[in-house]
Amino acid sequence: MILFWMVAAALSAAAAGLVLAAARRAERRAVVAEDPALAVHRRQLEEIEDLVARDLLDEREYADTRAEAGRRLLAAADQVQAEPLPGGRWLVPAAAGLVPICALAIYFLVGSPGVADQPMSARIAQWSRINPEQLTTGQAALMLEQQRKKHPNDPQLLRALAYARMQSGDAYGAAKALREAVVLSPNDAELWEWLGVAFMATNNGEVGADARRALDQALKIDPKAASPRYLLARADIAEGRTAEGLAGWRALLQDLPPGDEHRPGLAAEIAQVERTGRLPGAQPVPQAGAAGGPNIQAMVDGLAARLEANPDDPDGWARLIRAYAVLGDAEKQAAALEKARQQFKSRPDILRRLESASEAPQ
Amino acid sequence: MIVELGAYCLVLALALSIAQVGLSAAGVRRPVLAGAGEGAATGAFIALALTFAALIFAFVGSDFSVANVAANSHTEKPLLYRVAGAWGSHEGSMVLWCLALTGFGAAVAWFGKGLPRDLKARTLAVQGALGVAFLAYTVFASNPMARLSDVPLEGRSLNPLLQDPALAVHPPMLYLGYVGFSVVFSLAVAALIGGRIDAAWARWVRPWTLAAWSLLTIGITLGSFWAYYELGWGGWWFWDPVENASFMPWLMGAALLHSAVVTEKRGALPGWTLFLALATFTFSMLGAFLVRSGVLTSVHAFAVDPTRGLLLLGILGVAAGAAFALFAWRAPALSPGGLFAPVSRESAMVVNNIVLTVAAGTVLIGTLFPLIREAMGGDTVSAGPPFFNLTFVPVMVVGLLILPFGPMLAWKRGDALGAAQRLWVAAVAAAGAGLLALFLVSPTKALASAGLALGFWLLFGAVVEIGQRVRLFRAPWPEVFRRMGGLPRGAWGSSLAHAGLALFVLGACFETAWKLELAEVMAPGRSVTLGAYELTFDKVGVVDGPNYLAERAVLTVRRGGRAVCTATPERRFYPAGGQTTQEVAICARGLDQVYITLGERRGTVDGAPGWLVRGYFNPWVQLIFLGPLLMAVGGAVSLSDRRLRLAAGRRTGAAS
Repeated sequence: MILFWMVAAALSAAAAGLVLAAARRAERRAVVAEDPALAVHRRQLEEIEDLVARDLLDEREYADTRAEAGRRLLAAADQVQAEPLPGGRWLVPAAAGLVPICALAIYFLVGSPGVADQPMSARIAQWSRINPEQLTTGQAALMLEQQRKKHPNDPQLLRALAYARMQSGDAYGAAKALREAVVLSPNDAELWEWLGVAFMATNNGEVGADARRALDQALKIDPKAASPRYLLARADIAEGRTAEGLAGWRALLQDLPPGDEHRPGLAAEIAQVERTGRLPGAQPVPQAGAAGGPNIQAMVDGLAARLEANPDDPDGWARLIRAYAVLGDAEKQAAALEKARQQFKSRPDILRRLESASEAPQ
Repeated sequence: MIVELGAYCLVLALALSIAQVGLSAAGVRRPVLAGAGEGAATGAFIALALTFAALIFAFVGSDFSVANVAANSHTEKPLLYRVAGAWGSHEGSMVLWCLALTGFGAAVAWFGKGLPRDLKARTLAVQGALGVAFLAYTVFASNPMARLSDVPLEGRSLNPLLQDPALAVHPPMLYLGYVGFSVVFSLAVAALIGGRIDAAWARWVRPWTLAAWSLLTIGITLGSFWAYYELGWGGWWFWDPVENASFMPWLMGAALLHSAVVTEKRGALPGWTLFLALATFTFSMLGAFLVRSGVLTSVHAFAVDPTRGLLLLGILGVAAGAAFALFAWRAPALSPGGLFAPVSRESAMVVNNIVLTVAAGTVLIGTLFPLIREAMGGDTVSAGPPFFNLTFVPVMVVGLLILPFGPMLAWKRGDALGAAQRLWVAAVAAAGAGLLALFLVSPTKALASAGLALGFWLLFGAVVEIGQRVRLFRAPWPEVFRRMGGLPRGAWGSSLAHAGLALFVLGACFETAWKLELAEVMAPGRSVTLGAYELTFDKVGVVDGPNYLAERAVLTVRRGGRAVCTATPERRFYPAGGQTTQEVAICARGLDQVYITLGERRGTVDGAPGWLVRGYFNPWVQLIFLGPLLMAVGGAVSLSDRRLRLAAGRRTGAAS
């Protein structure tokens, strides 16, 4: 703060000094009595002679232009130059003194004195000094991104980065990290599975061609992996290959251990598809798969829980509202928006961001 | 601290500009005060340069506590575009505008040593007043250094269409051009106040006009080139209102360049030259208003709220209103200057001025009429290419037909028959080229062939003009070379600019009439024919950009069975803003280009995955961009003419 005012004072002094020095230079400069227009007209005459010497002007044009330029020179010579007036010197120091005062007054109106720079590197350094559990997922993602730049070939770091990005609602960023991770560690079925789920998240929860390729690859490496089997079978049903999909689910149900927490839900889904021929619910990716996997719904729920505990996180609320919009859950979206409105009712700038998040799902 | 120092320097620049106005106005007859005003002008420029540096610092460091950075940057954006982000937003570009404005003020203070004391002081006072208006607008209504109390984690990023090397350079050039005309405006207002407008004044105005016009030419060309390869529509000019906003001051500036020559050489048309000097910068300010008022929807426009637009309209109204009121008051007292015959170089320049002004008028009507009609509750209409083809083009054709005659005519009283005799070779050659195009290339395109003939007429006219001056084929070669060396750079400059215009006309006519295009859903392995070229779709891959994800296709372009180019068009997705863009692949072949874009995925007839590929064969399209660049080079060559360097010493010899 003190340094800022010292530098600002130095800049103000330099500005005032510039005005004073320029005035002093002008004072020393001899006042040219002759009208500068005369020099222009003389040079025009010289140019005409020059053009004739180079044979670039014909006789008639030469006579005409020379006569005219001569007349202009004479007319300019007849112009009376106004004599410089004395006095008024006091205005220079007055103006030089007023400039910093005026600048300071306006700065207090529009500036933010005392507010420090907050470049991303400084913010990350600050976050690295606090307890990681207190970080938001967005902060964690930015810190991990910084780490990744130092260790670009560490698949575990990329896995953690992808997880943090997914949790903070950045599915594209998660997919990008996972694409790099599977190149570095191509035999890690879990990474392929996460990549498939990240692709689904970028595709409104649908299993597109990219997600299918990634999930297929996960199954190739680990044919017993539950989550890819579940998701691919679900995609088969969604695409009209109901018999194939049901067969996949039934085989998965058989393979799940008797006490597995996912058995009842899967059995209920199978029963519903058998009854109606359609997928149950609007949930794009239901609870299934390996524990700790990047299940979208779980991530959104996690974000919601975290915001309940620590509601002073405008970015988090904006992500949650957007995530509900992407999942098509209008009811929860409206509820989250209302809670956020209450939380930030005195902060119109944040409210605007929240409203825009609710209007424009990414 | 750096950001706040930048904010402080911004208000310091405003305070210095206020001092510049007061000191320079009071210094018209007091050299000490005028000198202090010059110091204030220099200080304002330096302070604003520091603000600009601080803003770039904030963008490079992704300081999202600065609202402008948070709204227009992102941590994953490449460094070049983080730097360019400083002028990619409305607030940042206002700093650039003010930097150019104060920079030109400082340039008058430094390089205006040959100006009369009173004219220089008044010019700096007017320039300072413009600076005060735009700086006050920037400080109070569009502050680029405003801070956020709630600092977001990530920025909202810059529109991906603007993340392009041409767009990093285009705005600085454009603004230097736009704002360069402010000096001409200030010189005109200062001369009106002083009541002395003569040949010397015209000579002082010319270098500033030349510099501003050349920079604006480069700026518009870069913008057009960007639109051509970034928007992926295969076109290079869309008569978009924002494009028109930059084109109007260019047309008026071109008229002013010619009119100022007449005033300088003959002392004629002083009132008209003054009018153009005022009108050119008024059109620049109109452009600034149109782009920022929110009244236009355009790829080039900043989405700014109407309140701030109204403030800009207020600045435009006060500055232009005061200047034209002064003109209306003082102009009747101006002497008409030298007389000239109906057939003379002056008359040719008058025709040129009428053509350029009417052309600017048609662009103005086409740009503003839809807005005015809509504002008055009428239907939404748009003035697109059909309107401009029927208004602007015929007017310009008349001007281009007459253009080669101008330099062939003598001042005061010209010889039309003599000029025609000197130009008959150019006329016959141009007509021959047009007829050749009509019969060989396409018998059905008579208008385009006529356009080509017009382009060749201009080109051969420029060559004949230089040929006449150096006595090409009429004097021995050593004599020709001696005369070439002795020719003033201004003459070379004007011929180069006219030749550049000719190249542009040739490119525009050929490209518009004979371009080929196709749109095809292609799967890997498939080939299509585009004129003489065969495009084979080899493969598609995914590419991870620094802040985008792209599908990149690889196509082999063949001609006569031989591979001539590998094209890699992309379809990019920028997750930060959720936008998709196309990256065009261009294969340059001589003056032609094969232009390929990759569209969305679509199923082919046999069910295999395919991609929509658009291909264009744009013949002679390179001339459309090279021509204007040659015009700008012509302007720069003219600017280097020692006759325009006022501080230069007296010439020592007749021949060099």
